[in-house]
Amino acid sequence: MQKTLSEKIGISGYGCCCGAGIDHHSAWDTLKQGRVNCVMDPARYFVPGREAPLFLVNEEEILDIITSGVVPSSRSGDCPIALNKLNRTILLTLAAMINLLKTAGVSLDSLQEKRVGVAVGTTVGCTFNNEDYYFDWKNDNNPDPAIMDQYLFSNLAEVVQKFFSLKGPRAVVTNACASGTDAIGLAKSWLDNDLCDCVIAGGADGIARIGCRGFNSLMLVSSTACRPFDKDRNGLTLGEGAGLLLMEKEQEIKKRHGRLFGRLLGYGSSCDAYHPTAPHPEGRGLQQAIRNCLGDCGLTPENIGLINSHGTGTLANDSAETTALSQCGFHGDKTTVISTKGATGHTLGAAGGVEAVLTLISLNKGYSPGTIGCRNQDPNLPISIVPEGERRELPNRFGMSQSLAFGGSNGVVLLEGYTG
Amino acid sequence: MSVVISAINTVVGEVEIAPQFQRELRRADDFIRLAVMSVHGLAVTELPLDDDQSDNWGLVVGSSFGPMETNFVVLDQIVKDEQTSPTYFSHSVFNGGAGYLTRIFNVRGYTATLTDFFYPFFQALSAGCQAVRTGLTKKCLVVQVESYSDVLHDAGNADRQKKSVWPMGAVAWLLEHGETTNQHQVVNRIKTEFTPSWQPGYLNPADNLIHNGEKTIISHPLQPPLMISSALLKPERKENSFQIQSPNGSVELQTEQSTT
Repeated sequence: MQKTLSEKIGISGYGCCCGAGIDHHSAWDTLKQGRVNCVMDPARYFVPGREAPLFLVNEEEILDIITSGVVPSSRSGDCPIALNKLNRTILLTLAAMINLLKTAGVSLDSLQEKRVGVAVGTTVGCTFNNEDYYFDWKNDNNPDPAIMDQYLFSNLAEVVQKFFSLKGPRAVVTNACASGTDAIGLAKSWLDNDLCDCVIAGGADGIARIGCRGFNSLMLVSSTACRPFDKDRNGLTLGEGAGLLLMEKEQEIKKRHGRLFGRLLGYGSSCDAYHPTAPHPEGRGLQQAIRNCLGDCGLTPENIGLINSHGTGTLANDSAETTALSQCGFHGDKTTVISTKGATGHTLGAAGGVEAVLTLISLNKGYSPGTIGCRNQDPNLPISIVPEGERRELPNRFGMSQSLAFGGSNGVVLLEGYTG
Repeated sequence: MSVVISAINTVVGEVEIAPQFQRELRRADDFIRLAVMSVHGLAVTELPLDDDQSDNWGLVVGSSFGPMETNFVVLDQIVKDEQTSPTYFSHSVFNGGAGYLTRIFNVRGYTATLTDFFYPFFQALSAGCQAVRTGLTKKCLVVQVESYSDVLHDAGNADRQKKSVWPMGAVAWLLEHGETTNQHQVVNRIKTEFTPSWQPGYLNPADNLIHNGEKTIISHPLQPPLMISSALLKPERKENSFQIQSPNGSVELQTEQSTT
């Protein structure tokens, strides 16, 4: 059933920060031009003797953005921890948030008059992974209590509330690599249930040795830049970033003469209940999540112009994901299927947020760049992918962004572009 | 549409693994074991679910600290420049517990893990109630698990006048539509409000739990859902009102005994 204007969820702002670019403009340019900005492990994130590339964000650039005056100094000055001591996930989140506020053209003062929800997904950002503290504790060397305080300060949604003086519901979703997508889905339910007036939702994750070494131990890391869906793919390339959407009831955006960038039409979630780290071979849970998402907004596969897939470049993911799409009734010649991870890397809990932003930009531009790294598609995959170097005009403005994760989590969001 | 709590279970401290789970949990850490045994102890006959039911059940897990001890096992391998164990790594991810729960009990619907230092059970409960109320799932398991770690206890005790060790444990509730049978308590209201603070004091809480006007000082993150579970299992009144008052925010939960 078609929702009325008062019920529709509009997207009134967005921002991101990732290895492809410090903001959404530069990330889109990188994607469009097919550039690959990864670097070989500069700080020994992996075990000695292991060489693999990473998609990183320059920390000085992030700090420049945060201290550029967009976050009022009075607010950042309240923070008992120096900005450069905050963990990378927080810094990336703040940078994406500043990008979002600029895009939305809303003032912080106007947000403080509203109930603003904050739903952020993360994987590494919620863990205590300070090696110095742990090393000192282990050796009875009186670890620095300030480091523990920093950890207890680091809940991402709480940090956003504190830095921007926001009041409303909050949640940090920790569904591993589906966290960002599921955070957007949770935010949708808050708006649907009138728990807030607007909501900031997405994901963030900074690079950390625990993630690099963990994925390496599972033999999922490629020694060269990742090549999603390519016949020679051999794993993922890790990255870091943050991607956030500002969402509110469409009627409220129109009432305040705000800009509408698109709509969040649907959300679907499901669990494989199959394996701790591998997807179900036929993407059983993903199929259900896609059907739930389409059912949430009354659309069918024929209506969907773009699918920004999870597309990590691992053998198991790309096979399960394309099988699920095929089983759900999608055809690559009718629906543009791509992965953006060749430009961003796999940003874990941030992926759903960053990819929702890139999906929305693509829907609004009316075309999609091809999949960086996919030069010769694996012929065994049942869906054709738009390869590197090609550009595909989109038949409509409906697009899906989907995420698969450890623990069998699957999340799908359905966006509609809008440039009116 | 009303949401009812149709089953409640709690586990505290070391748990004994039921024989049918011993193989599946042979490599699991305390976090996962507590999660699984808390749901098993709900004694819900449908679990593990048949395939035709599994898409209709959801799961929301809340945790303040996640699988922290396993996280430090992985960190230990890193500081020693040893190879990381893939099993430990996958168990150190916060939704590792949810992954085990969904596999063992064949839950394939909406699944989320929520992490907050401020009483995550009630965020999970709120999300679970929404999921049931809006039809996202027919039934939803809501679980909080805390296994903590010695690193955390030492940090807390450095800050406390009276030394203490927070007890690890888990709380599991099953939510379903009010129309169904096997009713227990109706959730009339669940609301969490946050007062973000730059000095939240999460290791040394000075918060209060008020149950029908009677105040208890909260000394560890799992205490409120444990106490509320206990009160709801043996309700002295038809209606129950619970409030958490804290410098970091507040929680309100109101329940009512079902009449059917």
